Amino acid sequence: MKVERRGSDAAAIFPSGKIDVTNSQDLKQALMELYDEGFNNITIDFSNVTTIDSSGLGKLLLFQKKLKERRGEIKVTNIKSEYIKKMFNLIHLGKVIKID
Amino acid sequence: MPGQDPATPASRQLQENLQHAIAQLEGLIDNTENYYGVIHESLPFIDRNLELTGQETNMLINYFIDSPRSGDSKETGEGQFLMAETLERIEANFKTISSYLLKRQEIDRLLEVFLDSGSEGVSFESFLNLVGETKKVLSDVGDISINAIIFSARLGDAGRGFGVISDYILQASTSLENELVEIDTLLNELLQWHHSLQSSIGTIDETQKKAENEYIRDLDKVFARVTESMRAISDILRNLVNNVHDTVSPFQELMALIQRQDIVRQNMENTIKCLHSVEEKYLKYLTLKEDQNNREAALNHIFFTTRALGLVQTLADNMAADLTKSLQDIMDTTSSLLAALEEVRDESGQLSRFLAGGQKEGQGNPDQGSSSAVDYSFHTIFNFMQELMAVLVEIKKQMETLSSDKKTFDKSMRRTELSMNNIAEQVAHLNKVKLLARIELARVGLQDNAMGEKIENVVAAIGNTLTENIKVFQDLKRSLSRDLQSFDRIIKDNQRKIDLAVTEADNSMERLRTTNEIVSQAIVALNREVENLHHEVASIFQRLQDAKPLEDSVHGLNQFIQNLLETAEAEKKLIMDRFELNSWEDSNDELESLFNYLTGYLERVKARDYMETEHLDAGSEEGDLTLF
Repeated sequence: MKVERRGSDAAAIFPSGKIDVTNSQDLKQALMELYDEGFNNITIDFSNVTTIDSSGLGKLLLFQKKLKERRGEIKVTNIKSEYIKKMFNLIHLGKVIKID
Repeated sequence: MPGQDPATPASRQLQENLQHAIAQLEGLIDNTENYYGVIHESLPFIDRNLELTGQETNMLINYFIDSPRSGDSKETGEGQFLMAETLERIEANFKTISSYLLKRQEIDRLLEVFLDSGSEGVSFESFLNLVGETKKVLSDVGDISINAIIFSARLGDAGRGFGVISDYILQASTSLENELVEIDTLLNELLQWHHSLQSSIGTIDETQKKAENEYIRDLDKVFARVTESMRAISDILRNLVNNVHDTVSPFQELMALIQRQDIVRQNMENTIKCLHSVEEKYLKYLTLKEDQNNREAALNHIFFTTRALGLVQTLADNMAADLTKSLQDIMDTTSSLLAALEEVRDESGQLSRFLAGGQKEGQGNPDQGSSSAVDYSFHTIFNFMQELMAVLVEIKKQMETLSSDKKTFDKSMRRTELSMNNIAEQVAHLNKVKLLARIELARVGLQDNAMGEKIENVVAAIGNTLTENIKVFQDLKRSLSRDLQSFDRIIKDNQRKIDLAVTEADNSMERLRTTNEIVSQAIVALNREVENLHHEVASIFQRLQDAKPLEDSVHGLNQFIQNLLETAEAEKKLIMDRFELNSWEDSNDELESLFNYLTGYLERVKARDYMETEHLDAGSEEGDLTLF
């Protein structure tokens, strides 16, 4: 999973394919590393993500909570999958996590 | 020497230590059972709870939120999901309401007589015109009243009689003028009422259009959206439950691992049997060791003892390795399971807070506090319904105002009727005055005078016009009142039906609120079950970590057996020295008889290898899994 560090406070992660119970650990790992390094504003680029399940959602919510505790946040960008767009919309995820 | 106790302290010690080894093994069996029992007792319970949680969640989702789609066909009767049924009911109620709202065309039709200005028949306008015409005709009385006074004055003394008549005409004229003022007032009131009616109808029409265009028309869309939202949420919940199930699938592995306990126990029991044989033989040795006549037997017994203890040591090593591996496998599996459960527990916690409550706002309206995804989905519909109901309440108020305005109309119409009756009375009086005028004019020889003619004509004209107009007025009044009454009845009736439908929708909304709460609570309960599951497994793991004493016992026992063997070897050397022997050939038969105690494949292989005999059948590997 590609990770870009942009300065001292911001970073971006580029997962691809499915984010589900079989590989959400990878996303968690990447987020954990950035979190431990002190990055507070992490963008997750969804341009290559096709689906996401409850374990993937759980990771997003977990790190949003952690980053919020130190005034940072997660931002989700470039959602290309119509399924993901619709799902996020229907469950009102935008109320909790910034989605561009 | 005969009579002397043949056992030295060391050899007696060996006998005691053999018994001690047996006791240790028996204790080890109990401890091992207790250890494996930690898992054995908990797992079925955990497994069952997990199964129940999965079933409950699916039931919750199927009943309250959404059943698995099969062509989107709706289930009927038992099993129909509550939310969909409730939403359908609300939607149907509001569509019914829509049908009860009087459309503009309908209102126009019912109030045609009031609103249609181009009609030649019965209409409010024609009513106003009629009243206006009557006014015009009556104004001529004022003219003849003045003329009569002048005429009477001109006649001088001869006109004194006519003066009385002119007074009558003046009285009538004054009364009629008063009635004309009243009629003017009433006309204005009725005009104002009419204006107000048109304005109210316009307002009602606009409000109803608002209800229709901004809400009722969008009902399908709004409800579909909420249903879609809840389906998305139910998919996530099902997915979470599946992930929990997948995560705990290693439970089955644990169940298989703890079955190893049977083999471990069997190995220990078999070793105990071997030790009993050793003890028995050693006791015989102790009895015979000083008896020169039984030297051979004594030597056989001690050789058996040492060789058997060697076998026991081999078996104990095997048992220790087996047990250690088993314990390690259990620890490793439980540790991985616990780690995976921690992940799922965290996810479940996050999702529960997000879906059912407690998640803090990431962005958007901070005043919304800790609303959940489920709440947002339901609030969409609650807000929509409340706004629609507010519009319906507005319409109701406007209809009530319209209805109360009718009283104004009724009152004005009654007063108009009264005025018309008063006018009719005065006109009847004028007819008498006309007669009197004719008589008086004839008396003074002026019967062909223009004055007389004028009076005749005006009174005749008024009489004719009024008779006709009063009749028309009565008809118009009846017609207008009837239509307005009819309209009032219809709107009241419709309003009653709308009120009923709104009450039903309100009740359905209450069910929806309950569903909202239940869904949220159930999601929280699901999360709690996941947390409990993690807690249970963590508790098991904690107790399993106390395996060290067990492992130490096993290794301690092995060392003890090693010491037994060394002691036995020393005893053997002692007796060999006493008998001045360097070697002794004993039979393998008795040792091989121990083989029959052994039931597990691996221990039989180890025993066979130890005894260096090929003819002993160790069985097959599957034998380890069955009890002999």
